[in-house]
Amino acid sequence: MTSRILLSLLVLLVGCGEPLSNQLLLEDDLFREALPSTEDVGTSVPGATEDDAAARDLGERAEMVDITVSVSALYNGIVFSLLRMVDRVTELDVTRREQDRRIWGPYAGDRSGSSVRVVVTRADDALFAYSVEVASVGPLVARAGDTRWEVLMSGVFEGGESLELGQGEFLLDFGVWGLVDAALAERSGVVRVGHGRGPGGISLDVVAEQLITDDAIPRDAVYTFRGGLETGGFFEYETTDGDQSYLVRSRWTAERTGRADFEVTGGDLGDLVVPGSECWDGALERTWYLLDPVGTAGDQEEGTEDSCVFGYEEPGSPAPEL
Amino acid sequence: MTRAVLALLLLVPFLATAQEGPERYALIVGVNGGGPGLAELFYAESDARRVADVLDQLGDVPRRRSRLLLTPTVAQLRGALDALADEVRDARERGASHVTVLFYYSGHAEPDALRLPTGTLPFDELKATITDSGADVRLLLLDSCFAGAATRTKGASRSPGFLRDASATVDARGEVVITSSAADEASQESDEVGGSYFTHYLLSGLRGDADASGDGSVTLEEAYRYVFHRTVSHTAGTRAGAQHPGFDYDLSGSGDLVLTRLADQGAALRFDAAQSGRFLVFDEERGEFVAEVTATPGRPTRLLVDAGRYRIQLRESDALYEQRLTLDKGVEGAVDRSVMHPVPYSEDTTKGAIARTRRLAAGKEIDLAVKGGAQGFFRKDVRETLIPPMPLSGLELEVRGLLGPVGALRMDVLLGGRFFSAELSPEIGFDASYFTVVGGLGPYLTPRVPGARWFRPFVGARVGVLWIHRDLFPAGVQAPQDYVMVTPGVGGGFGLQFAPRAGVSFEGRLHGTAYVADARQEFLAYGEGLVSLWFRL
Repeated sequence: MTSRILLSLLVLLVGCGEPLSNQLLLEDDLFREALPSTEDVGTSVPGATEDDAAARDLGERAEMVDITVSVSALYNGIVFSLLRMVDRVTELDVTRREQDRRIWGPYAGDRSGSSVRVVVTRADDALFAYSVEVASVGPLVARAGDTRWEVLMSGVFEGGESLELGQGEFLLDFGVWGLVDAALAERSGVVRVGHGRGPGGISLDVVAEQLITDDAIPRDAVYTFRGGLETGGFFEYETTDGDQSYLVRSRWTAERTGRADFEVTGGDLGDLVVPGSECWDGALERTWYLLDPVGTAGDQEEGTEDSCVFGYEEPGSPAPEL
Repeated sequence: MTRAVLALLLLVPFLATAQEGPERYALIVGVNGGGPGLAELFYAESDARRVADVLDQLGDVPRRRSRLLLTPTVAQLRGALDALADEVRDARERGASHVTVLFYYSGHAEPDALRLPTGTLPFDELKATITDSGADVRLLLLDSCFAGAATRTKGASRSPGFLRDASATVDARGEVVITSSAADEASQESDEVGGSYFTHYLLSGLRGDADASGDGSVTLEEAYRYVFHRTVSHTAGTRAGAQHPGFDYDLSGSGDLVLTRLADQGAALRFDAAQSGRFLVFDEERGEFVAEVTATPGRPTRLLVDAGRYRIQLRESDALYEQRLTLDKGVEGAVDRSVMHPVPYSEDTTKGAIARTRRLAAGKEIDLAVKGGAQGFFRKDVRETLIPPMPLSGLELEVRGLLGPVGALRMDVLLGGRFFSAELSPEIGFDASYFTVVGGLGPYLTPRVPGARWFRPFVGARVGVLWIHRDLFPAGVQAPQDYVMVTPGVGGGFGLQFAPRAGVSFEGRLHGTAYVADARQEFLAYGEGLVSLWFRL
């Protein structure tokens, strides 16, 4: 009986309504972290830093290092420019805060009259969905009902042991991007990025479909990246140099020594597939190079394969686990 | 010059022991409660106060020689009687030529004893104590009652006898007992006059209406005759029936016993020979009827009152007729039926005053307070990031007397709010507006401090309800948060009365609540500091 009375008193003491709490405010960063950052989806390859650029003047720099750096820069440039825009938006105060949703914006886009907003929704403790939406009409004061929002980027993210170690994927629609950035008005195509981060670095699986960039040529591309500079890494990609296409499987150690196995097709090679390999040392200087056209006797080889830290791997074979 | 002063100082001891004139002492007792099984009376204590006032003003019993006891215990009453006897003996030793003792009691009684909430005091013991004091004249005025829950009638004491010789004159040595009613009769209170009939007419008579001889003094005989006739005539039609005041005396000597002298000490109301009718005199400053005059054509009457503002009412069947007079000290105002203006009975504002007197008499006072102050949570992080200190203002109602003589029930509603900015971290902050409503209810103890009626401490327990509303900026960024908490607590402070019906009080409160937020339950405490300006209704 006494316990019932005490329980009743306790119930009386408990308030009703929504207790005042700053929890939603404090969770703003949680929703920000669900969005991909440049560290999450950027490819970091040896030779991409300024110090390494100086080494490029030596003249003996490995050719595959340069190609890898340029492809990495191309990919990073595309993705980073979008993420920087997202960062600019989400660095501002949240404009709508709900239990499981945050909205930033609409804020002015780079293109006059455009608006951008970022919406992040929490489906579970560590599962988030997000979208970067743009509108080409309507000023900042435009009400949501008056504005037609197009999805520039949409994705999901699932945290691992922490949100920093989670994985996710997102889709970029370049055709929408031009609505808010005049410099990208002519671009189109779709880029799908799967990303993850673990103790061994990051993993990226990028598929570009009919991506039209500066040269107005639609391209399909597949990039696979594992690791990073600190841990050593793996980057496989397809790229072109003039009429010729390269499928490059590049790996490196934490000391930057590495190897690239590649296949060259197209151009004056016709239907010929020319495999090749290149290894480099910690100074990114070539230590071994082999170009071995299939079915010909014209091998080109410099140095010895003994200098390589990695063995041969066929380009296009399954990527290593992180 | 110095020698002259020294000589005067040396004379002081001799002057102090010289023969002194007559002295009067009084013990005045009012008891609203009668203990278990007896109904509360409404006017016994206020009647006692009024008797003390009249004796002070007109009866030659200054405050220093009278003692007013309101709802004493039996032990306190016995102690006061003993002290009274000691004072008489001291007066005798000082050489007072004649000592009169007056004992007035208003309250419940049994056939042979005064009935106090804590017990009874037999009449025999009362009379013996007073007799033993050695006073030349012992005058007992007993307006006593039994319970009558429905009618609040007072039960009659069994008085020992009645006036045997109305024309007797006495030299004022002996004992007189006047009771409010005869045996087996009821004594009654009246809401119309805000007191008991007996005391109402006793006071009216003492103020001058009983001065049948017109000699400027009211004698014992005049007072009794007046009280008898008025009380009988005005109680004849009541449900409890006519009430006959009793009179018994054992006096010797010669000369009238003068109860009040109608000297021009204060102010006066004059009812000239042309006036007729029953006039009620209402003291607007004190909010009570002070006297009643039955004017008879051809017989002018002077009623002595304090300087002040008065409303004189003449109650006739068609309407109430009123005249207002402001009397300075030494001024005599003329009451004149011809200048009175009619007032509908429905607009008789004295009813409210009487109702207040009735509440006061019953120990039920109602104060309305305008309050202001601030509220703050004790925990620093809560105060700085969640619920900031907020100013408060609002109203409080206090009803005293509901929970015993020193008990009160307090209830209040306070509003508060403010704008507030907080930093949760170097990167995260917010701007918000807050609004709060605080309501509370609880019993308080408001003991009186002897000798300092203007000072009133209080302490009590409360159950509060705290509603906090928060709106974050910019508008719409987040749904408003509302939370209602039940917050038990305690409070205490003190009040300072600077006017008869107004004062200021200072109060501190401590409240606590179980606060459930973000899947955590915490006990949060907050305090309130408040200043109140209160008015008695």
